[in-house]
Amino acid sequence: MSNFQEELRNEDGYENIVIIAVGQTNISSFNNNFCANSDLPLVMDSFPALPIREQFLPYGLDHYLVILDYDGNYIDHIDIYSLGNSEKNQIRSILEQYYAQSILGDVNGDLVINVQDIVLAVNLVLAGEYSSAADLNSDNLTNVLDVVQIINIILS
Amino acid sequence: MKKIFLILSLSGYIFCDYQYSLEDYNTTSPTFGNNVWEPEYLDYITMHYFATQG
Repeated sequence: MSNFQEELRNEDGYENIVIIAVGQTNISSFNNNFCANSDLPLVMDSFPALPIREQFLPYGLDHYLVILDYDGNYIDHIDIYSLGNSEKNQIRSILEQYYAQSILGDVNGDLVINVQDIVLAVNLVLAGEYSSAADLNSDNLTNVLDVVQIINIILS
Repeated sequence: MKKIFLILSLSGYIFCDYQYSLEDYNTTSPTFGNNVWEPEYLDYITMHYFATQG
């Protein structure tokens, strides 16, 4: 899952995204195995009350991945036994559909255009990479002209 | 004006579906020992994977 998180951040452009494992105080095997194979955060749900699961019901079930937006609102969930390409594509599809109405200039996808987007756009230009969110003049290029337009949006 | 701003700020917390702040127990995580998902990952898209016995 660590690798998938990096893919979402670096390849799919979801810079602020994190996968958090919700372990249980009574399942040491999961907790140990997860920590041994991952650098993702792991929190403990206290057995037997399991308040986190309770809060996430009906989605807080074994091997469920619950996806929330920037404000903690429910987007969707999927049942994951193993994280293969099918599951990855399903998650990508969920995110793409939810954020389909992205704002031009909102390079980091946080639904706000600010200096962070300028920094990201400049980095894209310097790296010679392309982002549709940063292509404000729709010329299929991300360059200094787009950066200027983002700055103008912020100033206006 | 300040009251309006305060109400708008709090409304994000009031209307969000889920919320927790718990210590990160993964020693290999960059946020080990800190509380997640809040405050470490506030304003992030978060994916919460629930433990399994299997």
